[in-house]
Amino acid sequence: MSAPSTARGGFLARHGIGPVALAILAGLAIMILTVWPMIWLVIGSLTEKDGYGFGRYAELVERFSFIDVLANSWIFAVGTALSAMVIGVGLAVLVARTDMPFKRAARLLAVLAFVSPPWLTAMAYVYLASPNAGYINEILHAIAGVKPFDVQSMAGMIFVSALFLFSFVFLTVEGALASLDGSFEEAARVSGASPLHVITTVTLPLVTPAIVSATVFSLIISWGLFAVPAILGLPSRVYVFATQLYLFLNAFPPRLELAAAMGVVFVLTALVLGVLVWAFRRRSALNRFQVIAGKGVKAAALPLGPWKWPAVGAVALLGLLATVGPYTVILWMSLKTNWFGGGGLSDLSLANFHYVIFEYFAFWKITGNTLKVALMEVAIVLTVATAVSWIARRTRLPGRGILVGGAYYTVLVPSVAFLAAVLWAWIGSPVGLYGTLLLVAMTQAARSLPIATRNIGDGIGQIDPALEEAGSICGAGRGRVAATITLPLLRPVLLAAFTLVFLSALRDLNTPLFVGGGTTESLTLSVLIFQLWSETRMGEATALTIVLLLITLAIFIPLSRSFRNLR
Amino acid sequence: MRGVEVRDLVKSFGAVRAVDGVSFSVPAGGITTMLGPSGCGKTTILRCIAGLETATSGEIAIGDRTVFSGGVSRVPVERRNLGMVFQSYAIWPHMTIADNVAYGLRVRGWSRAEKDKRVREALALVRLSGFEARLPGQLSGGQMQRVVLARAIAYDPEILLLDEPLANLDAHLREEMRQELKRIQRETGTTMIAVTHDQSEALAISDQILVMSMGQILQAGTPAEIWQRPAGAEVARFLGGVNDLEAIAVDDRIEVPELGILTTGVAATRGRCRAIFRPADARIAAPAMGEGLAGKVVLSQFLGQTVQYLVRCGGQEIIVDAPASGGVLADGTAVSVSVASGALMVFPESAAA
Repeated sequence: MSAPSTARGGFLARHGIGPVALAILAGLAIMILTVWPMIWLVIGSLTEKDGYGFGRYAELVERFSFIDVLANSWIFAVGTALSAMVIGVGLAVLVARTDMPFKRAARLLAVLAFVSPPWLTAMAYVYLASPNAGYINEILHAIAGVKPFDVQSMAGMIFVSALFLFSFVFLTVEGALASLDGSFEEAARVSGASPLHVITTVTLPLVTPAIVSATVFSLIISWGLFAVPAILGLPSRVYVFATQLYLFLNAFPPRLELAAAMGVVFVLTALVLGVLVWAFRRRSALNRFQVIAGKGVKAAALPLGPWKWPAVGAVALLGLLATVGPYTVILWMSLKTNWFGGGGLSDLSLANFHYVIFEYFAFWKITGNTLKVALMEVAIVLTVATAVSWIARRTRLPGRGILVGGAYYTVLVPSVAFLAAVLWAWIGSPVGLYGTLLLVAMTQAARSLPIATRNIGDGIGQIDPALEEAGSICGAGRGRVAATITLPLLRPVLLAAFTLVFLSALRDLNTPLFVGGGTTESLTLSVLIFQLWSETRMGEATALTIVLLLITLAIFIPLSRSFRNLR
Repeated sequence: MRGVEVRDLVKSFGAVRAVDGVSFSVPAGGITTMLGPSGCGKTTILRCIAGLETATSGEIAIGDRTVFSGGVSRVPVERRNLGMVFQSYAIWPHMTIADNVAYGLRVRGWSRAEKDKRVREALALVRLSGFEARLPGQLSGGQMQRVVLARAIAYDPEILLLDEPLANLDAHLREEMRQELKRIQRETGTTMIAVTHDQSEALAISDQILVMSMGQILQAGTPAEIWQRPAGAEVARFLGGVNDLEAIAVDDRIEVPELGILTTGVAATRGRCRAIFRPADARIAAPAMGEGLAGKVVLSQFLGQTVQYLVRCGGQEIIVDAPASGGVLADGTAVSVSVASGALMVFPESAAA
């Protein structure tokens, strides 16, 4: 290269002061939100009475039957992820590729399962199928003298978790199927393959990358699940990672170092899995699956023939088990005041609602907390994610890849492990964040950053750079171009991210429970529901669940309407 | 009204020199076109002039302002006072047509009344009066093209840059917009620099053409100069010279070894050379002694005004456009192909590259 290296120009001159300042701020935010806690997690796990060492890891193995917990966690996570995959992929194929009727209802079912809080389903199934007092068990006992169901077991935990995690697999795989070029399938059918043959030999192989990554992420999500193993597993002493961590933190004195050591083990496992998936996707993207890219023709739906109505039946059963049933049971429980004796309609009243709204001393404060946390989280996430995506896509700043990595990597950290990390980072810190709503919001924000950064990044990627260049040519500076062109064009994506993040913040139980500090100051509705449930005040807990759902709907419906206006 | 001076411009992407030491000047008040195949560096040069890319070295001056020198952008894009027509149009979908056109005026802080007046004028110039309140989604391709033009000239930029301005239009609209571009240039007097890979487009609209290849300028000149006296074999091939034969110049004849004499009356060169000619300049006749390459019609296509023949002469295939008035020769007919001496472009082998 003979490029003359005459005055390369200052770093600031080449990249612009604004972008550099923004990158520094975004880097600081990422550092505080996602990197700082993880550093402390490692430090914490190595902390001993005097100095550092691997003593905590040894103690885990020796004293806390860590191997059992590890085995249980794997069984739970793998079982949940595989069940979710089978259900999710099956439903995705039915909805995206066949002529099954009621597709819209099926899709709605999955979306409902996706947004409904996991603890809701778990509570409903405790009422229906707990080994002794479960409603169905009692009926069957009266009729046939057996109590066949036990939801408070490993099988029950997997069953209930799969009933909402399938929606995650469904949404991912259905998206991939929808963008698949239909001519691949049409070619197979013209060649004489039956619809089932087409699905197994053409359709599914083509979306394998989506299926694999959805399944692995289900696995990582399962490791972070707390509500289901807590509600179903704690009473029957089936401990997994998340519940064991909860016990460590609630022990007296709290065993924070053990929590950190266990967190490190799970983070490492998840990182290994994540890297494997990344390598797999990379390889398949390089070798075989480029064909998926490009504008596809929408293929004719594959005819189900005689299987049409059995398929509808299966989906209806799924809907009953995953959403309709649990919601009905929760509603019933919330209206029930007499927990002993018969289940007559005369026992129903709004007393539970009256109690939680008007008699419980801090209802309004806690509701306010819930909304405040969600709003703060959304503000942090959207700001940081937009800044990071913009820097990554629209500047050539060195180190922008690291910035994106910092925003993304928490997707591989099981939720509860990250919470242990946050505890370590802030609990003894002079900054005094521990126990505040801000810390809850920051922690949730770190959890939501990967998905928000991906969505917003894709959104910016879809904006033709020429649209912004045209603004610069017309004489507008970077800031003006961002304000008048980039952000307005990004509005639908930002609104979608807002909805997603806000909804998940409202129902999040793990974060406020673990890092909220346990005082009314930072209590949210989900934590209060969990506390009421732990005190076996089922009526009040479920009534409050209904209240939370109503608040969620009140926010979500106007939002979804504004979406429709945008299209 | 200003011109542009580009001196020793180099733009490297890694080890690749997309622009390899290019110098040219664009006189004020005309249309200059960079013509070349895709990947020849023409769009990169345009983007360097705009300030959307930063070149590696060299110098760019717009009027009396040096906007780039010493590897550093001296004036950022937004202060170069340029207009640009993007290949993808880049009309902002969230703004009305009027807002799109008014953007540059708003940035420059024009008053509302002046702004509205100028928007109306600009839309009138591109014959889109009355479209102010429409949204971009409601326009056809040709109308979008006009909106981009109106937006780019509304604030009287020093230079108007056009990146493949007509590439996304269908054939008949393209001819119409070609005329429009030239009309608007003549009416406004704006200096325009365009980029295209379409030789007929370049010939039709340009006052000056820069023929480019592999990051370098092969020839600069008026359309007529470039068409009639291409500076090298590559330019000749790019400007319609699809017939390219290895030949030998003997006395005043150009002979193709073992096939015969292509033409007589050319005395410019000696020895091995390349003989390049356009299909319309070739003559097809019954086999005769003396002048002409002996061959056989392989295929004919009736095109209306002309008949296009594919003729095989020995191992060579030659394309000939003959007037349709002479009838259509059957496949397999033995013919002789020759070229009028003035129409044959002959280049010494060494310079043919």
